[in-house]
Amino acid sequence: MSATVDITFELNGTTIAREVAAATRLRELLRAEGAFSVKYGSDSGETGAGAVLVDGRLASSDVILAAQIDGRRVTTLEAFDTARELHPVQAAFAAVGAFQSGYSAGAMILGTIALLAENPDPSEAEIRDMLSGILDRETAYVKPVEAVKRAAAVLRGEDPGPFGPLVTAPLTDGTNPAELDPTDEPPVGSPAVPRLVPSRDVPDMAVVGKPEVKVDAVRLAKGKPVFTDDIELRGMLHVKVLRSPHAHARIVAIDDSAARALAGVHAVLHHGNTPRIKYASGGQSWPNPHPHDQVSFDDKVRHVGDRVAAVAAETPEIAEAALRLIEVTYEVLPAVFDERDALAPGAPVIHDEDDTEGIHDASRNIVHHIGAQRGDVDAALADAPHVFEQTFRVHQVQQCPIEPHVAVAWLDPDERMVIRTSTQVPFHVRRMVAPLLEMDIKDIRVVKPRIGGGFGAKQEMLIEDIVGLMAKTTRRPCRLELTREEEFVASRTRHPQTITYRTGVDDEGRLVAQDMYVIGNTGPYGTHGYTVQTVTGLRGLSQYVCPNKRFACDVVYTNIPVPGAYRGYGAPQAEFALEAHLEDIARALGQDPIEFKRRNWVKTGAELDIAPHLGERSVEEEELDEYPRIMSDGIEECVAQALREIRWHRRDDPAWRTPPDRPHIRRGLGFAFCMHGTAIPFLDMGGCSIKLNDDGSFNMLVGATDLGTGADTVLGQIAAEVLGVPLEDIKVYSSDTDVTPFDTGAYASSTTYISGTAALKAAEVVRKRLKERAAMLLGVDEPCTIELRDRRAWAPDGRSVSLEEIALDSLHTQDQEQIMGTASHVSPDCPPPFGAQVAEVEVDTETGQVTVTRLVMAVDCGVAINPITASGQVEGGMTQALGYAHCEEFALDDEGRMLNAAFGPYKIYRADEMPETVVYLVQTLEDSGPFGAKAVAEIPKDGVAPAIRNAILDATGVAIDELPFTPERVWRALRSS
Amino acid sequence: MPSTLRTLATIGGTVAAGGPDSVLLAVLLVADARVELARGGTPTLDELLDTGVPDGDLVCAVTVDTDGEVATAATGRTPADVPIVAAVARTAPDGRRLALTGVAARVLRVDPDDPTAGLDPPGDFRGSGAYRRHLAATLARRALEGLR
Repeated sequence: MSATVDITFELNGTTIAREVAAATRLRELLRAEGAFSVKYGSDSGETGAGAVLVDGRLASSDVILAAQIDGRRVTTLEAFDTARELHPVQAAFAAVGAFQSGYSAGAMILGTIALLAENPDPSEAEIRDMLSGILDRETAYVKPVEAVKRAAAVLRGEDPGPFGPLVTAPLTDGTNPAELDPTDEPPVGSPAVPRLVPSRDVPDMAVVGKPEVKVDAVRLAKGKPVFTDDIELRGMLHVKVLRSPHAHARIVAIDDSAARALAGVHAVLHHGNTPRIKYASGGQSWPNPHPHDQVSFDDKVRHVGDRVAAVAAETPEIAEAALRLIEVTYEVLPAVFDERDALAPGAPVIHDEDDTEGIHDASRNIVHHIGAQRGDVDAALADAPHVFEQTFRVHQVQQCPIEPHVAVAWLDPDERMVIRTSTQVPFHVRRMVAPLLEMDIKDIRVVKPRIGGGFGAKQEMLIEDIVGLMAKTTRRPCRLELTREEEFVASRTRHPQTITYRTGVDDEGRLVAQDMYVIGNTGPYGTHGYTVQTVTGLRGLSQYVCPNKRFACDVVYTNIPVPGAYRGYGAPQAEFALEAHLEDIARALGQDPIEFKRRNWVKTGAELDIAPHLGERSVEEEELDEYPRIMSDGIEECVAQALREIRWHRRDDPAWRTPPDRPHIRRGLGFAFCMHGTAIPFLDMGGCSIKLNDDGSFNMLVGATDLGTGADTVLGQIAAEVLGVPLEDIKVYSSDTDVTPFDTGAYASSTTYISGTAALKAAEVVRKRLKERAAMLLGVDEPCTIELRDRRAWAPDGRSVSLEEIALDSLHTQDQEQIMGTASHVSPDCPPPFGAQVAEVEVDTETGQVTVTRLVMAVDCGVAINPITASGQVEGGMTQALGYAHCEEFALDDEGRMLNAAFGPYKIYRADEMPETVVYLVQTLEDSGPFGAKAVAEIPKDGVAPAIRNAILDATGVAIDELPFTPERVWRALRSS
Repeated sequence: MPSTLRTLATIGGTVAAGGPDSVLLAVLLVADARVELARGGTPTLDELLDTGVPDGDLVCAVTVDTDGEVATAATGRTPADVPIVAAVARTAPDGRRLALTGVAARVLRVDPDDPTAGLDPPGDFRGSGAYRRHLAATLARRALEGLR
C-alpha cells in the first residue's frame, strides 16, 4: 500500500489531525471532511471548481496534495455558513444572478473574499484576473464581475443601488424597419444589465417580468450539498469504466480473472456477463427513435473511449488498478471519421451486427435518410435567373458542463433501485434504464438534484445503466463520475456536418428555391442523430420565405466520439451555413446583406411551412390544409437595437476599419438573423402540482429539470403571479420521479413555455378554489369577482381575507379539504423567438488571428418572465457559441484518439479574455405562451458563428465556410484569396 | 502575469519541465537565466533546456538579468490562449536577445538577425509546421520592432 503522512491543519477554524495517503489530493480530503462545496471539475485544476483558500489565498485543491497542507489554514465556503443571512459577497452574487448552476460558487465567492481583503476597490481587470482561473460555461462572466463590483461597494459601505433591467425606448413601431441615425447613441449601463425594450401590449405585473432572485440562490451561494455527488452512503463502491483504445475493433476475448481477484473489487461487468439488450441512449419521448443500436456492454467497440468493461471497487484507486488487470484481446478494424468518407464505397461498416433494426442502409453506414419538400425545387431552380451553390463544413465540439456526468445508484429497503443522477431527463432515464436493469419502471426511482450544467450532454441515459447494473450486482451503493477526459471522449458532443445549399433568387432579390443537402455525422451510435438533423433542416429552411424548398439528409455512422444533443440541437450548424450563404448571395448581387435578408425573412402571419414535415411527429402528407403561422415577432426592433448598439455605421468609416497605428489589423462588423423554436409541438409535455399550506404559502412540484437555467424560479414566478403572492411563498421542488409530475425534461427550449404553462394552469386550478373559499368566507355570491393579490383575496367592495385565513379555514375549520391543483400542458404551437446577432472583430492579416471584441444580441423571447435569468441565458449561450465559432474543436489523430481532451488544449473562454457582451430583450406578447413568453435558451447559440464569419468577411473580403476561425485556417483563407 | 495559474505551476517546475510552448521560459531565456541545481550545477537555462534536469537533481534557484527592455508578440486562438508561437525580445547591454516558443521541441533562443534560420517546426492541430515558421518570422519581427 502507498505511504501515509500525518498532518494537522485548520479547516474553517477547526484544527484537524489526520493520517492521509501520500497521493491524496486536497480536494479529496476536504470532501471527505464534509466540505462538499469543493467541486470536481478535473484532476489538473484548470476548471477552478475546486479552488479553496489556503492561508487566505485562492489555490487549487486539485493539484495540492493533502500532505502539503500540514500546518496550513484552509477555508472553504462552508466557513461562511454561520447564520441564515448571506455574507455580503454571497448576497451580491445572488442578487445579480451571477450563479446559474452555482457549481463553481465556492471558488468564485472565496476568490472574491480574498481579492477584496487585499484590495477593497479592484478594477475590472483585477476582478477578471481573479476569476480567470475559474472556468464558467454558463454566465459569460459578466454577472460574476458585476457581483464582485457590487460586493466591493457594499463592503466599502456604499450602496450599489438596485439591480434590474435598463428600460430602453423602442426604435421602431414594432413592424417596420427603423432608419439608422449614426448620431443616436445606445443606452449607457453595465453590460451585466439587460436592455429591456418594453411592449405596449404587455401589462405591468407583480412578479412576472421582475428581476427576482433565483429560488435556489441561497443554497448555491452557501455551497450546500445539493449536487448529485454531495451525499455519503455507507459502503458505497466506486465504479470505473475500461474504455476502448481503438476506434473500431472486435473484442475477441476478455480475461477479468486478475481484476476479480484484486482485494477490494466487488464486480467486473462486460459483454460476457451482462444481458444483450438493445437500446438508444438519447433522452427522448417514447418510443425512442430507431435504431436501437447500443447495448450496455458490446463485443464490438466503435470509437476510442467506447465502453469495454466496468469495475466496482471499494476505492477509486482499486477500481483503476483493476481496470489495468483486465486483459482484452482486440481484432482491430479499419475506422472512418469524416462523414463524407463514411458514405464512400468500401468504407468500413460500423454496424454489421444482425440484431439492430431500423438502420436505413447499414452496409453504407447510412442510419437515416431524411427528406422533406414544399413546391417544386428542381423546376424553380431551373427557372431562377440567379442560382448559388455553396458547401459548408461544421466541426465537433463538446458541451463542457463543469460538473461532469455523475450518478449514484442503490437499492432501497423495498428493493427498488434509486438512481441519483445529473440528468436533464429524469423521467426518460427511468423509462429507458428499466429494461436494461431488467426491472419494472415502478421499481425505479430517479432523483435529479441540482445540476452543474448540462447543455444537452445530459439529455441522455448515459451512465445510469452502469451504476444500476453495479448496484444490482453488488447490492451496495455504486457511484460513477466521469473524468474530464471521459467527458470529452465518452459522453456526447455536437454533430459535425457537411451542408450544401443551392438557392435560386429572382431579379427582385426574392428567394424562389432553396435546396439543402446535409450529411450529418452521428458517430458510432444513432442517439439523437435523427432529430438533431431534422432540426438542421427545420432551422435551415424556416426563417426565409421561399415557395420551393427541399431538405435531404443522410445521417451517417462514423468512429468519432458520440455526437448527441447540444444546446441549439442542429440549429447552430444550419444557421451558420444559411446566414453565411445569404450574406454571400447579397454581396454577389450587389445588395446590402441586411436589406436582402429583410426582403426575404419571415414576419408575423407567415406560414411555418416545413415544420410539420420534419421531426419526431412529422406528417406524411405532402400538403396540409393548414400550416402553423408566426403569431408574434419583434424582428425589426431587435435589428434596430442591435445595429445601434454595435454602431453599425462604422462599417463605412475607413479610419475605424484600418486603425492607423496597427496597419496589419482590419476591423469588421457582421450580422446574423436568428430564429429558433419553442418546444416540440404535440410532444413536449410538462406537469405541475401546487398545494396550499397552513400559512397561505404553496408547495409546487414540477418534473421540469432546472440545470442552472433558472427554470424553478421562472415557474415559481408564474405561479406566484396567478396566486397573488410573492415568489418567496412558492416553494419549488424538482425533480424526483417518485414525487413530482412527469415532464419530458429540459430540452428543446421548452421549459418556460411548456412547463410554465403547466404551472400556470395548476395555479389557476388552485386560484379557482381559493376564490370559492374566499367568497364563502366573505359572503360574496360570485367567486369570479374575487381577486388575489398581496397574499389576500379581495372582494369587489374592498373587503378581503388573507390566504392564511383561507388555508386555516380549509384545512382545519369547516368542509375541510386540501386545496391543490395539478395540471399538465402540451402545445400544438411552436412560436419562434427571433434575434439579431451582431459581432465586432479585429483580424490580424499577417497571422490570421481573429479577436472578437464585441458581441451584441437583441432577442425577442416574448415576455421575459425573469429578465435577469433570461439575459443570463443569452450571455452564456453567446459565449458557448463564441467558442464554437472561434476556438473549440475536437482534434483527432489518424487512429481516432482525441489529442486535446483537456481544458487548455481544448480552449474555452475564460474571464480575462472575453469580448464585451450586451443583451437586449425586446418584448412581444406571444398569446400562446404563459404571460406572453417564448423560449430564450437556445437562440443565443445560433447567430454568433455566422455573425463573426460575416464580420471577418466585412473586415477582409474573405469568406470562410468552415468552422472554427482558428488562426491558421483564417491565415490560409487570407493567403488563398 | 495573470493569477490564473494559482498553484498549478512553479517557476522551478516550469524550468524543469521545459515545455516547448512556455512563454515564461522564453522570457527567462532572453533574460539570460542561470539555474542553480541542488547538486551544485549552475547551467544557463539555454544549456539546461538541452540536457534537462539530471535524474535526482532539483532546481533550487533561477537568476535573471532585469535590465534592458522586453517586448513580446504572440498568436493564439484567443487572447489568453497559450500562444501557438510567441516571440520575446530584449535589449541587453551587449546586444539584442530573441526567443521563440512553439517552433521546436523546446523554447529556442534564436539569432535576432536571422530568427528563422534552420527552423523546421513540428506541427500539431493548432498550427502546421509551415504556419509556425511563418508566425516565427512575423512575430520575431514584431517583437524586435517593439524594442525602442
